[in-house]
Amino acid sequence: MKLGLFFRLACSNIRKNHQLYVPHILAGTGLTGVFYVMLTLANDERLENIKGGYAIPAIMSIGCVVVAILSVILVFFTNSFLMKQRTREYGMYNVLGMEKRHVGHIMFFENLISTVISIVSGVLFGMLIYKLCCMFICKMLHVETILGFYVDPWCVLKTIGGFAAMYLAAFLWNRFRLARLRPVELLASAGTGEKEPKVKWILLVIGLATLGAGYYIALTVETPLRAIPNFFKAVILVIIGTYALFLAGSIAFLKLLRKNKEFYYRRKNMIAVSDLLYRMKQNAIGLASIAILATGVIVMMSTTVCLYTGTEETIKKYFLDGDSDVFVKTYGRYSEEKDGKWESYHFQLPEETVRELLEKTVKEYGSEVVSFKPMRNLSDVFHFENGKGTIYQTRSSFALIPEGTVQLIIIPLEDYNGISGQSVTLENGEVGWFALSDDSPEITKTVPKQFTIGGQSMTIGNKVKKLSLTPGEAYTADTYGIIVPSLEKLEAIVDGLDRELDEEYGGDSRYYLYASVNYTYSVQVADPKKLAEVDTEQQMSSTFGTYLHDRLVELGYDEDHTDAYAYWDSSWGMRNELFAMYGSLFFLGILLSMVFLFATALIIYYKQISEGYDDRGRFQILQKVGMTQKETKGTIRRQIVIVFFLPLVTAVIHMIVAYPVIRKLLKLLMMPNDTLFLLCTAATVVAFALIYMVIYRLTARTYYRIVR
Amino acid sequence: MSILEVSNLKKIYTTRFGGNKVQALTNVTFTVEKGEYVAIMGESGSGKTTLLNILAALDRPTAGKVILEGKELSGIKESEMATFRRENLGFVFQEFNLLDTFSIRDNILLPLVLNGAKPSELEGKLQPIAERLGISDLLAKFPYEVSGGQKQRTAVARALITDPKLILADEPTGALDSKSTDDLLRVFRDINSQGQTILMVTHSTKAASHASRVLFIRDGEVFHQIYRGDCTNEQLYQKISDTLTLLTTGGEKR
Ligand SMILES: Nc1ncnc2c1ncn2[C@@H]1O[C@H](COP(=O)(O)OP(=O)(O)OP(=O)(O)O)[C@@H](O)[C@H]1O
Ligand SMILES: [Mg+2]
Repeated sequence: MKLGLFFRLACSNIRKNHQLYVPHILAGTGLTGVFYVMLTLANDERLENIKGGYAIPAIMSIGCVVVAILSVILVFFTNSFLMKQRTREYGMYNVLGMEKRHVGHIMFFENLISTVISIVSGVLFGMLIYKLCCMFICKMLHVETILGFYVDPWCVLKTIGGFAAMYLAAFLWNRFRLARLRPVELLASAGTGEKEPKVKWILLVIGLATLGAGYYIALTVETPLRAIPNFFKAVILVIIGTYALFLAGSIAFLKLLRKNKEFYYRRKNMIAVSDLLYRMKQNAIGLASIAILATGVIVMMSTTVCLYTGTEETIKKYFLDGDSDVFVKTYGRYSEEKDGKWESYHFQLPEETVRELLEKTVKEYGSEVVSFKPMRNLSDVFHFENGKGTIYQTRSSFALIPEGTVQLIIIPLEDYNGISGQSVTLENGEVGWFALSDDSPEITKTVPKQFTIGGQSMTIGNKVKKLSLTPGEAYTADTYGIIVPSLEKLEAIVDGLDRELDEEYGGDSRYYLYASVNYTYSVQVADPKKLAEVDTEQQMSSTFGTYLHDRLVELGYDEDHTDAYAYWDSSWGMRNELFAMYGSLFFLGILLSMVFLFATALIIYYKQISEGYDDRGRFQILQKVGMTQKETKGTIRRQIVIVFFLPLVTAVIHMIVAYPVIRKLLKLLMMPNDTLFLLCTAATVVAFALIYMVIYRLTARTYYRIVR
Repeated sequence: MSILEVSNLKKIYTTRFGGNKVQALTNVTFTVEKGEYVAIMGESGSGKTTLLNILAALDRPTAGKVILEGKELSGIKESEMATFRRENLGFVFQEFNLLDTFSIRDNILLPLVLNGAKPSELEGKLQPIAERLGISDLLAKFPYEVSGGQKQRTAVARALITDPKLILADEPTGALDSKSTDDLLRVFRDINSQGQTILMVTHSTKAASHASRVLFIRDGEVFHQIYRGDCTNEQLYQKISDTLTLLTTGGEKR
């Protein structure tokens, strides 16, 4: 009976305030739906079983977390906005003689209705688009489309539970605020006039310092590996700086303008400057959030698009500019018992044996080996001091990498000539060199002209033609190739290094360090496409491994205590893996960008509404004081445009500063093409600006309807 | 010489949905001489604000003419209207209509700035007016920091700063207590004695008793008018009270 009345009142309130409730419910629906999709994607085994798709659940889980965080923020944002607008109405009920308890009932029903609608429609929406998302992912991953309707009851429950808890928390907060407010306060608000914004000097200094530090870090990052921790440091600093400067900097700047009498007391400027001062006070947080979200969208989209579209190129570059299809690395290991302890020895298999068994394996899968070239090397990070190079041990990824640290890939001359097709000769005692990246300076900047590694002294000689190599580990610093006269020389270096490492770390069981030659062979096959169809990388490599092991047993090794290792790195395997990874990252980028854009639109919409009501009064006064309607509209439009485009401009500036770091991060992911990234970034910025403009146009319409 | 001539003014409001029509002004005719201080009285809903809005060119009449200093308002183009209003008219409203984003100083200076005055000239014009109105100490404050009477004096300063030919005031004392009302009426009398023409709508007999002439409006027409002549404020007050009694008891037209 009575509850029924409250329920009906709540219904009619929602209908009456649809301008506020529709976006609130839409936001809830959208976020619930996207969260459900992300969660299900992270748990869908069918995706995990896609060739190379093992990373998909992890990637989607990241998406889940981001959406969850954003959901909490947005739900509380729309909720608090809603409450601010409704407070007067609740106060009215209270003044008209309704008990607070009863106002609370009405509020409860309002919250309940909007929550139920949001969650139910959200989950249904999620289920509907899930299939679409799956199809889209399969398209992007270049795999056959997964069909069939898929619902994971667990995911449904988790989604409903999570969002219900969030809305419950929001309701309790509202109820708490209602209980604490006195009717007078409930009714007050209009007509009190807002206080003049003060410049918060401390915040201003913090903002300048953090933004400056963030930019400085971003602009001075030298090496890709350091880019990772520094990037996150910079991101956090820039976020803090953006908020602080939007809050304090904008007001300080406008006040400075107001101090300048010659500038301020002009027709065009006077109203704009003072009004902007108040607009910034009210909207700084919202605008800063938009700037951050916009930057997020631009960074996500430009990088994921770039990685995704550059996949083929990355693969080509990795496989010696397309001169190779498979890298094979092998060694044998033999274990024996010594004084009650097991010790193992690594040993190399002869080149001819590897070649023979490899040809056998490839033939079995229906293709043929076209070329087989050894590419033996030692790849490691070295630190040079007094002309002596030692293997550099990073203690932690956050540690500063000292001067004189460089990554070297040491290759014997015969292998270099074999792969590059050159016929380089070396002077006595000299080594050839090349830089992997065209940006790198001369090698002598870090490595002394005369140097020793592993007790072998060498002199830096001529620069030779660059090999399109990808270092085994991530780029730590500038990476150079060093060409030594022979395999024997390389082995001597490795032996020397091993001795040094043993002396330094031998007693310490925490370190099990040794240097070793990578016996890698670059293999080209007749028909890689065909192999890509029949092989899921593991199959061929395990066949090859079995042949190697059998051969070792034939050669008299103990069957049980001997292992043959074959690392098999094929272009088709890499293609599957990269497409799975970059494709799902790209998908995540798109989905998150849509959520971010949606959040942006929501913030702008609410901003326009709340400003619209304020501006209506100002608009009328200005006309009474003697401005034409056209002039008034002009000033207001100009302000709105400034406020509107401030976040966009901020985002673009952030992106410009972040550009070099992101480029370095992409190198870490083996994305070599700078032009492509520049293109992707430019395209993303333009696309984002266009969408942003559309959002502006749509919300501005609501605004002008209110003002008129 | 008459500064304002109003003849046969008529205003019919059409409600938003078309149907209902409200006749706010039926036939209003009167003139105001230069230097006069005219009060307009009448019951609520008799059309006073409507009249003032038309005089201020904020609204257009349905029929009739308004001539300000020999210039007919309906002949002024929409685009020039705002400039005309800024240069010739000053307004004081019941709800002050100050911009809360502006300091008191900026609120007063706004019309001058809109007129394109040089920034260097502003202070010279502001100081004497602020002093006369007793708000020199408040210039740096914001509207929410000052009292209602001070707000209204700010509004008067804003109206005066452009040296308007005519000041229009709509119930300027409506939101003030009696002390502030007295202050404001003194200000009005001062500026009137210096030659400023004032047209003031008011409900307050006391306010009207300061004027040199009182017009009574009923049913959208000028029903009656009283000239001060040699009367003191008290005598005029009595005359106005009598007329008002007559008005409410529904006496015959003059
Ligand atoms: N914008 C409008 N649309 C329709 N009718 C209006 C409008 N403005 C005023 N009216 C009507 O015109 C008549 C005169 O209104 P007006 O505001 O001029 O009265 P008033 O004399 O100023 O009253 P008060 O002393 O209460 O301020 C009233 O009946 C009013 O309802
Ligand atoms: Mg009125």
